[in-house]
Amino acid sequence: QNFIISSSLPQAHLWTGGHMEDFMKILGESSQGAITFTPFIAGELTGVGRELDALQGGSVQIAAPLLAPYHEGAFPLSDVTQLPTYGTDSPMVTRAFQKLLDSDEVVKDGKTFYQYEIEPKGIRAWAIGATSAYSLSTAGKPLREPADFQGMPLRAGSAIHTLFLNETKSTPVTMPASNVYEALSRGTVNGLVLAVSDWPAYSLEPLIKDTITDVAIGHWQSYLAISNDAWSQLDEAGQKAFDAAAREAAANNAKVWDGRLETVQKDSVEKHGGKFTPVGELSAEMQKFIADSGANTWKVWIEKLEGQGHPAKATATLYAKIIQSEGGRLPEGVAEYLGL
Amino acid sequence: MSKTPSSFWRVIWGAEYGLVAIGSGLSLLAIMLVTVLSVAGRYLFHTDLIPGAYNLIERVLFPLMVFWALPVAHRDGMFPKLELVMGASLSHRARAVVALFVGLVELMVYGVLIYFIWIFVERAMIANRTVMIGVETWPMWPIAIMMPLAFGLMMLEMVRLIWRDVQIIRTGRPVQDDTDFGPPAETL
Amino acid sequence: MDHSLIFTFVILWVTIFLLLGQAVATVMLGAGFVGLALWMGPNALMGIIGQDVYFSVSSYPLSIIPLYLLMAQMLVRGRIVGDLFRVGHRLAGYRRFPLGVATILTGGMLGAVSGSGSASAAALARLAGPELERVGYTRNFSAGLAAIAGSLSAIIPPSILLMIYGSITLVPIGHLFIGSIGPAVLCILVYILCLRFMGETIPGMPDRVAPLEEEDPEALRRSYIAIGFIVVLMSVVFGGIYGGIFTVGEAGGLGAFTSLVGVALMGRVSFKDVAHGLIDAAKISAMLLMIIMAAQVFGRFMSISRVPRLLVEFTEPLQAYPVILLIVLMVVLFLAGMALEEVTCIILIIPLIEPMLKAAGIDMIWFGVMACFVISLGLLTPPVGLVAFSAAVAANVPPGAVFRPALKFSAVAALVVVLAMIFVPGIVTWLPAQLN
Ligand code: NA
Ligand code: NA
Repeated sequence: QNFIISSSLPQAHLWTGGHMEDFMKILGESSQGAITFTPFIAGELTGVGRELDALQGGSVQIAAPLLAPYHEGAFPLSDVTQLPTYGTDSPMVTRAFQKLLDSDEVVKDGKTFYQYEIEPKGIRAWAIGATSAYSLSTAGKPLREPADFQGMPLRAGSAIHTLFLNETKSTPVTMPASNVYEALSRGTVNGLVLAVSDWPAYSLEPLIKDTITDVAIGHWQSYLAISNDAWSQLDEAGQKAFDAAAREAAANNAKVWDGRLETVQKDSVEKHGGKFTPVGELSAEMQKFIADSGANTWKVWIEKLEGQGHPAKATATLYAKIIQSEGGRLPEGVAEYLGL
Repeated sequence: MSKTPSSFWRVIWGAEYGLVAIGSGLSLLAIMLVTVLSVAGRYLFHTDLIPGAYNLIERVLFPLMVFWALPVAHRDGMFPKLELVMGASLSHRARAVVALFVGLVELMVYGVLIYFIWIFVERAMIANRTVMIGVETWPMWPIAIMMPLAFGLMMLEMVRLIWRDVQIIRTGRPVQDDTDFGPPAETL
Repeated sequence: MDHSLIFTFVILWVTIFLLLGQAVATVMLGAGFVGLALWMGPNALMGIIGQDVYFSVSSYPLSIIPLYLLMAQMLVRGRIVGDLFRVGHRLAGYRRFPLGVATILTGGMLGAVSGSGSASAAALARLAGPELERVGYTRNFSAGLAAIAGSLSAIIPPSILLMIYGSITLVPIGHLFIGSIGPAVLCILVYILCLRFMGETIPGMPDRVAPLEEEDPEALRRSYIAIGFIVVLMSVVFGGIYGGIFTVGEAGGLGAFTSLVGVALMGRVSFKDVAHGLIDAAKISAMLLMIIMAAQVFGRFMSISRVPRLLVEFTEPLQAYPVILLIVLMVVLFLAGMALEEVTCIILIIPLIEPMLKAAGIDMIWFGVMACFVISLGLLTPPVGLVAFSAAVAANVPPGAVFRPALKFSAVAALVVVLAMIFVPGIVTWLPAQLN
């Protein structure tokens, strides 16, 4: 079979040049050429945040990736990986998110996370390689004390970033990463929440001067998704091969994210005078402020979604358990709140 | 058909002009003021005077400005087209036949457009699709619903032009077309 | 249905309905629907149409366009063009060549605060045309020169084409604006040289004439104030962008605000003028966005039929020789700019050739400035030179008469300026590289 597979991101992005290509290669080989692809990239066929429409409409059969966070309101619980954590890396979050998708635990009305979040949309989905940690970075004045956040316009890439930035009393400005360069160089925003490994895709290295590390304003996750219509065209062996390829490609991709992180960080320090400060080296007051903002982000997010009728608390609890078992830590107070 | 537009068209054009003049023009004014205020806040008061200004312009003000202005821009004949081949050598009637054919196809194209747009809007309503404005989450449908409204009004105008062409074909005489309502368009 | 058959059908659709005079946007929508439905089945439209229309309008980079249009609206409605020309006229001393140069420079200055050329050309044709005739230029050439000077509005930043190019390719629009300054200045110089050698004069006419009427010192004073205001406005916009103080969008907002407040303080516009300026800027933007939405849908058909990839493969041998590739592309774009409306041209062609440009490693700022320049020249050329048309209408001469000098000038500019940009990329890339 031949499938139309589409990424709305450019070739340079690790989810296109890395994950999507890897997935096509793995499945092409394991199916011994029985499954082939017609790839479209860089929004040729469908744009950022429009992948679900394209899958449901049939203009795309496989979205690699389906950028869940850009589908405003459509995948509310999938944002759970964006909640702030400590000491997490890309492979950990990738495994954790796939475990969440595979979990049998009921989150609401007898439905698992997968049954609640994915199944009603007429698609099948797998985790892809989670980004490396989203970090707080600034172009000018570094963030050192809680007061430094006050009123500072900072770029947010998603709803949870805005919640976190709001907790810090800074001003969140939601914009796609492709617009950050101009905004940052003109002072429309003074800093941003973005994965360090993602900087080169948007030429941000020369602009960013200071980054706080070891605390993740979450990791971005998205899905490898196939429409049920396309899925049913595969025989059982094909479906099995697809599932295996999806998992393998995600694990490979996670490693690439981590590798890229080191290169970019090194480049930033050596070529652009960038500074990376572990959160543990900041003042006690600042550490507590960031941890409190992180913990409040969990609470506000959960309460907001619960208010809309989504099982956010059950999802967050399940994810928190998995991420802890992977070796990640939660901001102070979150475990108590979740009753862990 | 009478020489002066019927009261039906007066109402439609009045509504369109109300949309474009009051709604669209004010949206543009708001885009300008929001921009000026956020720059002023940044440099004069060192604070963000309008949180979410960027999102407000991108997701609300600009789409409203465009969708509200579309019907009048269309009616004023501002959409570029090639006008050389439809030579003056043809008779009124022959020209009206061509215009009728082109107009019917156009009406069909917009019919398809509005059908799929309506599906998009309907799904956005059912799925509670939202837009992020700063930290706020707003529903998407109040903006999205302006699309079928705009294209619906444009289709009404197409129907009117088609009817006019039918009259010309029937009588062989040009029909007095008094569409002058509101200020003239001055293309830059 | 066979793919090549679908392709033929779509091309026929486009050709027939364009020639029958259907609006360009409708043609692209119709051809896109038909092509996509035949290629992928009608259901595929479900995943394309609604979202493409909604999201192409939900775009910050494009929201900049009405701000720059509003700025120009305020200046046109405040009759600033007349002031610019009055002062130029005086400085030129009522002599032939200097007055011609003054016309070009007036167009250039106007261009630095206006996004597109038709209004500039019409105003110049009305104001400068008769004066150019008095100093001995032929009537047709005078209208042609007004069109040429007016077309500079599309070449000199801010330019709508550059904004749209930036929004498609994600190249920072500020860099594009700044990069266009060099070629624009070069183009003005080329036009002045063309005027020196290609000016059409009536034999036996005196080169110098007396002013028609006694100059009104009060009017002249007002004109100098107006010019000072234009300079302030230009500094706000370009100084702000170049100095890294604000984004292009913010510069547009401040520029529009400054021009609105400025012309109001100078008592040059009424409340009604402001309202109509707002409305017209909104209407023109809506028209442009309609083209963009339609081109987006049509572009989906092009993508799915894999034209961009075929182009990459087809031009592979050329990619080692970017200069040859560029020259070929520039010729294609110049011809496309002649045949098509300019915005349509950019929005249809750039997505098609972007993968090919990236494969050849061509700098997207450099290319964008060149492409927009070459396409802008199409505003002056038959069959659909919008600027030439509006100058002809304003001067009350047949369009063909305006096209002749305009075509000559733009051909020379295309040759000289484009070759200069290709062989000395610094003309484009040096200034933006100094940003930040
Ligand atoms: Na300009
Ligand atoms: Na043209």
